[in-house]
This record gives sequence, structure tokens and C-alpha cells, in this order.
Amino acid sequence: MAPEPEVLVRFRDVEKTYDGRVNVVDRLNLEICRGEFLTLLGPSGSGKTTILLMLAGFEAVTAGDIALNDRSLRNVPPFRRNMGIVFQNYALFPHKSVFQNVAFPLVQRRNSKSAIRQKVEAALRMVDLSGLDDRRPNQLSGGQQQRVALARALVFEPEIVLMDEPLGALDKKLREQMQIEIKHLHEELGMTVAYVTHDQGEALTMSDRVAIMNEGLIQQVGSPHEVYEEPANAFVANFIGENNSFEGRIESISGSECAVRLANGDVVRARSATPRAKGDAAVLSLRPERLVIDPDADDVANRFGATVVEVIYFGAHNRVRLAMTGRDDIIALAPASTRSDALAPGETVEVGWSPKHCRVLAPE
Amino acid sequence: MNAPAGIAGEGKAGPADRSLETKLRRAERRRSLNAFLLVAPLLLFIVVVFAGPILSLLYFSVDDPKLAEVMPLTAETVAEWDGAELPGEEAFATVVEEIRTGYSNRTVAAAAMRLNYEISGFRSMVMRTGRKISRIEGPPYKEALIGLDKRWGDITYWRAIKASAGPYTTRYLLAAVDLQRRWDGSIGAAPPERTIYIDYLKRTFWISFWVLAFCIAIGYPMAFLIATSEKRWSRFLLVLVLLPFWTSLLVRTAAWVVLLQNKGIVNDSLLYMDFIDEPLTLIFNRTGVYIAMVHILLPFLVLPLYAVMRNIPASQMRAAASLGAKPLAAFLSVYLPQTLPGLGAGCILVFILSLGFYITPALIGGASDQMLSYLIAEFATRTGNWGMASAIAILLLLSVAALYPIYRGLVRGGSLRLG
Repeated sequence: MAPEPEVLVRFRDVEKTYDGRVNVVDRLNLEICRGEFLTLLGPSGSGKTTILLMLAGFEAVTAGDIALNDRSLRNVPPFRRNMGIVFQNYALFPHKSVFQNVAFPLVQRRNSKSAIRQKVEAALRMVDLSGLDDRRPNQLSGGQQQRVALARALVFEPEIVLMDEPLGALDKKLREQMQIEIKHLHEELGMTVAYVTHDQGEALTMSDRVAIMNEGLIQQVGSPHEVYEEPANAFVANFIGENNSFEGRIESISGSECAVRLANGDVVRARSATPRAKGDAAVLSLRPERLVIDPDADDVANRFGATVVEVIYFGAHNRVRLAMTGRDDIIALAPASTRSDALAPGETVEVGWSPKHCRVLAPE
Repeated sequence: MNAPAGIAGEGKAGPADRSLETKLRRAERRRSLNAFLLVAPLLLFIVVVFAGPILSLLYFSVDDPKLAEVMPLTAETVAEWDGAELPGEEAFATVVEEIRTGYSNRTVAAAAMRLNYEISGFRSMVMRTGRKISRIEGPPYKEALIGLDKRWGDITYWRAIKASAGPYTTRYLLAAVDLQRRWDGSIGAAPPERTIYIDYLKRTFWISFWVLAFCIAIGYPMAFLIATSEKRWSRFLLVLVLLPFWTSLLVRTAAWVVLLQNKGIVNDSLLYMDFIDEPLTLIFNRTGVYIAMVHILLPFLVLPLYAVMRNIPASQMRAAASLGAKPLAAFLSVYLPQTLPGLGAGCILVFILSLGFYITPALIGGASDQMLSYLIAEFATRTGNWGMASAIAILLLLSVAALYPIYRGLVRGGSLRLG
């Protein structure tokens, strides 16, 4: 039903180094399709902002090539790349009014006065800022400044919109509201967005695809569901969401399922995405919400005894720390219920999880 | 001691908000009184140190007591005289009498000096009259005085006395703008040999303008470089700018004299490198004045510019570029307007400071490179004409004050300019 995605931006073997010794971005091969919302997610220093700067033309590519619509960007200066950028600090022009800020890209493109007025008004209406035309940026709240920056980056209908941690300076509530608004704008306008963030929640909420970066390398590219439920490696599993990881060795393999013996001798049945051999070292990844206390269903093939160490009340759920399989830092998220509310430290419980929710990953 | 009880009773009887209002007002009054007492010494200091000299400057420029002090009756008599025709016998008698007493107790010289400002040669004429005054023994004084020196019969000298009668005069202020008051009270152009002040004023502005232009041409890129280069480099460059700032003005000017002379380092290196065949004249002319003044004033432009440039994030220019502005357009519509407050402050500093420059043109410039301050120094230290010195100082002060609205316009215009 969906048409074949058209590739808008293509990174081919891109490398970037500042000091000639360490690659900040290494062997980057990535495609951004027209109309998609792609998020570069990673801890600080992982190279995600550098990728954005290279795409925008503010940093030179050390090796490899970036192409827009199959044309190399190598010799295209930033002002001809036709990319809208929303900066972390918004970079609004403090000496210009809201109207002039949004009109700036149109003035540079020598649009007619009436066209400028019409487009700017439409853009301001779109971000819900009508009537603030004459204000200065410093007379606006953080959220309003953010909207002006957004309107300015969208008003000239750029090929792609780049956003570099645009919501980092906002408080939690406003940030979540803006996340939804940006997502809706993306759905309405169908523009292509490359979004950089270190906030995994933001990445999961907003993106069509997430590219997870670490130390200059892409760890995994996939839909939010894929990267959360099927992390490609231990880094992704630990970086996105909460994760219980168990280390052990593969004891037996049957189909996509295998048995892993942990250090304390317990055997866990888990699912392996990549083919692995018997005797390999393996890391198991289990999401806290998949760890069930007092399991009664039949498909819970892994069952262990555990001792409750700590219970923290979160309202909608309880966060339970358990001592089991020779460890005392296993986390379970138990939905609020009479049973989980009554858990007390020191209590012995039975826990379990289904093998399909426990993944075998290569050690880091 | 029923006051506390009375207040308590009032508080109960009157509406509650009113008593609150009174309390607030009382507290506010106490606070503002305290605040005033705290700043009072500072206020006093400002009045004494800033307003005082300006007021005394104004006073000195119109004060004219000399003739009236030495020859009070003469001053009184000519003040009543209409100046149309030569005064009568009575005025001559008074003059003879007061020159006689003034000459014998050696006070007449001060009055003669004052009269000399009106007509040069008047001083010696009065002194000579004084020397011979004993020859006049009785009336008629008119013929006798004209007999001593026939210039006493010339009405212009009498008009000069009338103009000097004091106690206040506008002659210094008028002279500072090349004007004079004629005997009938009308204001006209000063005689050509005295019309030098407007030329000096023009030259002062002209030199300051070029110094400012050179300072901007060199200082703007310099400040940009310091503000945008890496931290250790910017610190090093900043020290280079500041280092001469910490050296005395006189030392720096003297250093330029050494550097710029015909056999100085500059000429020697240029000769050595074969850029020129014979030494350039860099000193005792305008070129030398420009070089030294620009060097001395550059930090005043660079520092405020650097301060504003440092606060413009790099993302501003990036944003402009990403929105499609070519480098020059981005500079003109995004960067330059944001530096205008600093540029304005720097320009006004450089321009005002250079308007008052004295030492540098005096040491490095030739006769035709001197500025208004030179005249002030000349009048104050060599001829002791405080009236004239004050009047020129006021001219300089007013020129500077006239620049302030321009500065305000520049700064405000910068922040409101349409892009």
C-alpha cells in the first residue's frame, strides 16, 4: 500500500575527524527517505550532531560523500542547500521581530512582499503564534521562541528540516507538548525531518525510524518498536529503555530458541535473532515490564524464585527490585494491583518470563 | 505618652486599608530617605567633580571683571555712553584720573591687557599714557589726553573701553566661533586675522573623522578575529590590543616619534625592503598624527566591539546561511546589526577622545595639524587668557554633546532596523 520510499539523503561511507586520529563519525552509511521522520539518537559525544552539521554544510566531510536527491553536496555551500534548521538555542535573530525572523528566508529568496506576508502569516498560524508578529524574540517565552524557530525553518518549504535537540531547553511538560505538536506538523505537512536527540523517550514518541549512535558508529536503525523490542546489541538494549541484562554461555540451541547458562548455574531460555554457536558468550536482555511476578500463564517458560529487595511506588506501577540468579539488581515493573501493592521487602516470590521476550545478544 | 494609644485607636477606628496605606507610605519614605543618605556622598562627589568644573568653565568664559576692578569709574561712565560720538570732557577726566592712580600703584597693566584683547596695541598705548600722565596737570583733559597720544581721539578706542567695561561679556564665546559684537550691539564676522577658531574646529572634526574611519577599518576585523578565534589565540590577541593600553599615552607618542622619523625603524625597513627609494616623511605631518592616534585609540573601539561580538553565538551566522543568506547578506542583515551597539559605543569613545587630543598632534604633527586642545593650552598656559581658553573648551564640550543624539540614534536605529 505504501509507495516505494524515495531516498532523499544518502550518506555513503562518511567519515569525520577533527584531530586526524579519532573518527568522530565512522563508516556512516545511512539513507533518509522523503517524508520520513528520522531521529539520530545517542549519548553526548556519539557524533550525532556532527552528522547534522555535515548535512547542513557547516562541517566538511573528511571522507565519503553526502548526496541530496542523488546529487553530491560536496561543493554546495550551506546557503544553497535549502535545508531548514532548528538550532538547540533557536538562533532567532534578536534584533528582528517575529515577523522579520520568519520572513528572513523568504526575503533572501526575493519573494514578493505580498507572498512574504501571506506565507509568514500562514506559518505563524500553523505554529499557533498569530498576532505576535511585532514581538521581539526576547519578549517571548521559551516555548514561543521554539515555535518561531520552527516556523522560520518551515516557511520556505525546505527539502529537509534538521533539528538539533530543539526541545532541550524546555521544561518537561512543555517538551512533551512540543513533541506531539512537531509530530502532528510532520504528519500534516509531510516534510522530511532529521532530528537529533539524546532523549530516548523523545526518539520513540516522534520518529518513523531511529538511528542509534555510539562512538561515531550507527548501532541500529529501525522503527521505534524494532529498536525497543529487538535491540541489535547490548548497547542499544541498555540505552533504550530500562533493561535487565544477564551474562552467560549458550548451552543448547533449538531453532530460534536457545538455552543460556548463567554464572550461578541457572538456565534461561531465550530467543536468538542472530545465529550463534553453542558455547558462545552471550548477554541476555529482558525488559522489566516483561518480568512477571507470580506468573500463572503457561508460556512463561522461565521461572525462578526471587526475594523482594525494594518496592518503589509510582502510582500506575510499582518498581520492584529483586534478588535472583545470584544478583540483587533485577528490576521488574509490576502494574498496580492488590498483589503488587502488597509486596514488601524480604518477601519471597516466584517470577518468570516468556522466552520470546528475552533476547540473546552478543557481548559488547 | 498617649501617642501609642492614639495610633492604636486610629487603626481600629479608620478603615483597615487606609492605615495599611499610611504604614506603607511611612515605610517607603523611610526607605527612600535612607537610600538618599546612602548616595548623598556620591551625589556630592559628582556635583563637585563633574558639574563644578563645567559651571566654572561657563563662568570663566563670560566673566569680565578686569577693567571694572582697576578703573571702576571709567567703566561706569562708558557704560552710560551711547558710543555714537566721542565722549565728553567728563569721561576723559575720569580716564586720566584712573590711569594716574592705576599707574602709580601698578594695577593699570591688568586693565591694559584686557583692552589689548579688543585692539592690539591698546596695552602699550595705555602704558605709555601712564608713563606720561604726570604731564597732564589740569583741564581740559580731552585735549591734554589726545595731546599725549592722538589715538585717544579715535572713537574705536573708546568703543573698545566700552566693550571691556564688564562685568560680563560674550566676546570670548563669540570669538570662539569667529564672531564679534560691534559697538552698536549687533553681531558680525570677526576680522580675518582673528578668524582661526572655526578652521581649528573643522580640522579637529576632520582629523577625528579620519582617525575613526581608520579605527573602524582596522578594529572591526580585529575584534571579529579576537571574538571568533580559539580561546588561547583570542587571549593572546587581546593582550596584544591591551598591552599598549597599559602604557602611558606620552610614552606611546614618543615611541612613534622614534619609529616614524626619517631614520627611524619604519623608514629603514621600507628602504631595506626596497619598497621606497627615499625616506617617507611620516612625522611632523598629518600622516604621522593619523598613525599615532589610530594606534592609541584602537583599543577603545576594539574592546566594546569584542564585548558584543563575543556574545553573538556562532549559530546566528549558521542560521542565516541555512535560511539562504549569502555570506555578505548574512553579515549585513544578521551580524552587523547585532554589533551596532558595541560599534556605536566604540565610535563615540574614539571620536570624543580624539576631539580632545593634544599631546599626540603637538609632538608628532606640524603647525597645520594642531587641534582645538592646542588652542586651549595656548590660551591657558602662554597668554593667560582664561576667558578665551574657557570659551574654546565650551565649544569643544558642545561639539561632543551634539554627538550624543547621533549615538543614540545609531544604537536605537540598529536594533530597529528592518532587514
